[in-house]
Amino acid sequence: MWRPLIPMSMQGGQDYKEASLLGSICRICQRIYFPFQPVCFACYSDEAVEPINLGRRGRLVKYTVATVAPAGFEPPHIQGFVELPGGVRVFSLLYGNNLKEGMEMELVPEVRGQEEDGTLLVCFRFKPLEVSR
Amino acid sequence: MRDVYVAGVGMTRFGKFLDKTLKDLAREAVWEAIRDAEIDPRKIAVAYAANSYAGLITGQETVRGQTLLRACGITKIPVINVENACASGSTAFNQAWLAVASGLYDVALALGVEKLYCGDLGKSLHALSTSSDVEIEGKMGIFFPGIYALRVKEHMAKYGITKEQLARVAVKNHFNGSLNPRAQYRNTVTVEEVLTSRVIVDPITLLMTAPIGDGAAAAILVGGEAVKNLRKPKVKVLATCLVSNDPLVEEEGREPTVTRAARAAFEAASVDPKDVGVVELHDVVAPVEMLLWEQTLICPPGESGKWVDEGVVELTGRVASNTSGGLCAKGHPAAATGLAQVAEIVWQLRGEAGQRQVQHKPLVGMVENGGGNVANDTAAVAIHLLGR
Repeated sequence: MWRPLIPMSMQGGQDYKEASLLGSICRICQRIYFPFQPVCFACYSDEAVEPINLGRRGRLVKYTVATVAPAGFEPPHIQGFVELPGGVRVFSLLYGNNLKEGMEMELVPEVRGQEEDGTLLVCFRFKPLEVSR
Repeated sequence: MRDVYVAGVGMTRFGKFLDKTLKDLAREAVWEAIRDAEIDPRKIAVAYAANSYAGLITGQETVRGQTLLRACGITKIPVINVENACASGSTAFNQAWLAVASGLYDVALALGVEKLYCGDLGKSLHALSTSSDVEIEGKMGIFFPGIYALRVKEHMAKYGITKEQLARVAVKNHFNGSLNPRAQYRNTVTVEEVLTSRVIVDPITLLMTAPIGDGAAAAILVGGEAVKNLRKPKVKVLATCLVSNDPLVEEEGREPTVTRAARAAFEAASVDPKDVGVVELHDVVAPVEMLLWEQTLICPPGESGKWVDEGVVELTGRVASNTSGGLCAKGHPAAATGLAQVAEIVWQLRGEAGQRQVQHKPLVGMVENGGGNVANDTAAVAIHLLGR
């Protein structure tokens, strides 16, 4: 059993490793938000918003490498923004030594904690997409 | 709305004061402001008390303002506890202005006080990390200097700004800080020292960053009858504008949140950005100051590099910037910062800034103060325009 560490941010079947990102879409203006945003910022509507699967891939927009990290994380602390299909930009920690802006990225779901009953708390990072030959 | 004036300001030195409590710091700043205003403290009719992190650091989660002001001898009047992360001090100033401008009160006190050195750095850093959405970015491991670094990197790429220009902003602020007896750091640094100090997050190096610190600052705002008794040169609040994060800020045609606040302030004050002669900006990492000159509309887009090269922003320049040393050298006790920025502008407009006095005698000064980060935008931004 697993659940997303950030409420309404990921969805999937039994294997958390196969999970994908969950967001919301406003059916009036088609804006997409991540994570799930219950009221559209542009339309001020709480009725036209639906969940949407945002998949597992995106494009690296920008990133930066810090030599120090907040508590619970190890340097290098690589932060960046990944643009998902539909245009929504997701803040994420990243893996990779040779990151380049514009490169294709894929989701890496990872366990960040555990509840008392054993339920895994799952968050994510992105890493460069590995192209199979 | 009535005209509102800053009658008095006060500020402790910023630094590491393990022997001083929040109350000690608050009392020092408040009583300096009272004496500076030459006002009967009994006339203070309302107080806005800003503090961001003591709830987590000392456990005094509620009624902080009442406990701090009691130590200053100020009781009974309405006390409003204010929190907007690193923009708390400016928020208190903005609300104190509103209280007086509305006509409800003639004399208001705004206090900002913070004590980040508590003997447990982990505790302090944890407290600071709560200035984001702890359920989202907090859990994802957001690291604020990295967010600022991304903004600086984009700005560099867009306009061909060099690392040396970034470093020269830090050199300028440290030089200004060396002339400010209230600054946390009073040493000067060279471009080479800045560029070769430890990289925190590319392109930000250690000597470009603001330290944590302890300190307090206060301002007394007056309107109506109370204006008649002012003895010091009058400093008027031309405008104060407070805004919050814009979730759609990256969409085409939207203005950065700082620009939205600045534009509103300049319109409210009927002041041309070209008339601003001295500014205090939220340089939590020094190079962000270049972006802020442009975003606050005082500098044309893309010309901040030229401003560095031509010395426009030095004490001898046309738009002296962070004359106090800025957050980077003066220090950054979060909730005290906004009111310390106000104090610096008041001293500059009165001609009381001593060795760091801006030479061209500015008529209008500006404060920009930002706090927190929610969904990739600064959570709270305040702009104040002050004039003489």
